[in-house]
Amino acid sequence: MGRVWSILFLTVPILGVWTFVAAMNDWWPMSEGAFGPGQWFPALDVSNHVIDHLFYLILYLTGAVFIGTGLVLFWFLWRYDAATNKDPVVFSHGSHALEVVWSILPAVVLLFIAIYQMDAWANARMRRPLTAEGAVKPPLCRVSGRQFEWRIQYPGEDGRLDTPDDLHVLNDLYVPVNEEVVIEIESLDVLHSFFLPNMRVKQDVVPGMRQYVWFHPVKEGVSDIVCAELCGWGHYKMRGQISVVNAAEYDRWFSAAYAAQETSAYDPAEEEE
Amino acid sequence: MNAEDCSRTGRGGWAGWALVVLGAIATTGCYSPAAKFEPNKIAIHKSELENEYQFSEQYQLQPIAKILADAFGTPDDPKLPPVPGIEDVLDLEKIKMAAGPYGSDENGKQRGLYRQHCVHCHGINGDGAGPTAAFLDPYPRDYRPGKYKFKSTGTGLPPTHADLKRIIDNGAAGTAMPSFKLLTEDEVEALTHYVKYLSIRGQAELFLIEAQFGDLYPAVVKSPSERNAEEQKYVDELSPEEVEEEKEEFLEEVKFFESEENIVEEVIGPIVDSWAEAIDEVTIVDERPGKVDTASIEKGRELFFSAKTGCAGCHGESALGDGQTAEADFYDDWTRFYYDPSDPSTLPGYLALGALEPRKLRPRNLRQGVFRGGRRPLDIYWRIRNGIEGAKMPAAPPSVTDEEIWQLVDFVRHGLPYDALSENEPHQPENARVRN
Repeated sequence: MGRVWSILFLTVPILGVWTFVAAMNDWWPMSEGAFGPGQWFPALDVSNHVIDHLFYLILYLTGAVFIGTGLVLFWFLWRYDAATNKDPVVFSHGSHALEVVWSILPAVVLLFIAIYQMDAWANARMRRPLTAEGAVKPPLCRVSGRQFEWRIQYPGEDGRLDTPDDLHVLNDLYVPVNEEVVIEIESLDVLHSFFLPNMRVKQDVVPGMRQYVWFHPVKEGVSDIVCAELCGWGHYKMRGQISVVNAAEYDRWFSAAYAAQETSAYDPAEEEE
Repeated sequence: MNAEDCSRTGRGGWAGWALVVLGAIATTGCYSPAAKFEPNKIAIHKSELENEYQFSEQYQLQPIAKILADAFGTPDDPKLPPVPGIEDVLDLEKIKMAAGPYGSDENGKQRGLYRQHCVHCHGINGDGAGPTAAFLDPYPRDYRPGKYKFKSTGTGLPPTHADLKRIIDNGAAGTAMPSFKLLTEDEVEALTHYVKYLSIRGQAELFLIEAQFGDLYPAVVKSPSERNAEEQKYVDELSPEEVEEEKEEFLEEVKFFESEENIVEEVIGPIVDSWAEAIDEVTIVDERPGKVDTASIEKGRELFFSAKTGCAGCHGESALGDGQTAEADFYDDWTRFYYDPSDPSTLPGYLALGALEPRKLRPRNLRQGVFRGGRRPLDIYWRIRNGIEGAKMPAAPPSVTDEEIWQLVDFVRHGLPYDALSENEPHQPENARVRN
């Protein structure tokens, strides 16, 4: 085999890079442009680019390291192939300088990433949006994960959850566009993860914990809510739908949904179904 | 050992192994036997216990299986029996969409929805005993008796198409039945039709096992080696002429069901008709008179605790579902089919056949705002007016007027303290610094 092995190792960085380039340019025969041409992310529906920016930054850092190690590995296999290498074997006792470099350098890079993303983390997890008066913004609704659906509860006129005038809907989240949306999330049974790919929001939902997520949608439209934590056999079908609509549309939807929930008459003759 | 030796180890060995692995992958894992409808073993066992005989494989079990296969086909290839008017109840196109293995056919049409979404819990036969069923509380619905809890029709009647669809769309809150709202209209329709198909098939099967073939005493047609002691004794007491006579009668009965016409007339027709008529039997509800106010809630409270309705008897003085249900016999109909609380001795036999461990019913705790059949006033009105089929919730007696039912609905929805399912303390310290 000889140098054939080293060629095999060379294909690793080449294929790795090719995979990403093809994904970025939508060259997959299978995907048919799941997110549209040239889109390898779901569309960005929030004003905040920081998550995507961090993703690319880390991708480039790890990509550089990946390509570098792949090439070094290839070069060593090629250069010191037993069949062709006539040089005597050299036993080295390690180089102190080299050890220091490859310990300190990654440490510095990791530290840089940690500090660089601090603000993004704080904005996503700690600095809850405030109302005009400076109080924390109350949640628009509560989303409860349950095997295998998202149960959504909006406070009624009294603005408080868990009162008899709440609106209950299933898998069908409506939020108004162009304002900070705060959502309270909880689990009714096991671990789930509330994932809004288009809003760049993902938060594990832990039973017994009450947590809040927030985002600021700027585009109207319909996108997915998915569960991103294996929660049982039906995990794959735990999908919901988030609709971002303008304020007037939101109010219309709310009244209609509430009226449907308060239905008290039925005559099959009038059903169009 | 020098470097040159190392480079020659294992030459050719890996290629051989790779071939072995590829061959193994190619020959296994791609084959699974076709799904088939299992006989309703629990009903057969019950019939055998009650009549103290054993079904004859040749003259009873096989004809039943054949009748069902001729009329309804297999899980991969469903058919509809030639009952006049059946197309008003079952749509074969839609049923085919839900039947079969998951995937699509050569024209790219969706197939196998039932196996994609439902079979885990409800099983291939629709017996409510799929692989995940034992872990759920309440157990998934067994479609075969044709009884459903959450419907707009009265007790003893099948549900309407819209009733089943509503549950598939919205799920049943407080149970493991999730909502399938995000499936397309077509897919939900297909699943609804398939549930009805399994139900009608199951009812036909039960009828054949319990009434048609169950009433025959097969001792005379069995060979002596097949008979059990009871049956042998019975045959020994008969004269040879009597044996012949009874044999003839028996075979005549079996022969009767060799004609498709008789099966349609006697067995499947009436079942399909009852489903077709369900839509005319809906309890029509007029727009509620008046508004919800403290007076109506108060009246509802009085009714709830009155002897006239007796709600508090089961739902408890505080509506927590903790009333006087200590009576031994508090099981739903699906469980009582095989479990008699006063005589648990037969239970192990049923459990061995795949019956689920009996669980006592619990009256609903009305203070959590969780209503399995839907939370609309309309849904709760239906529950109170018609009762809940198969469970212990009785229909309101006719002496309770519509107005009074609405008052009860108001009390149940608005007059009780609300206990949220999970009242956990928020324990994430909020960092309320101004965002920058």
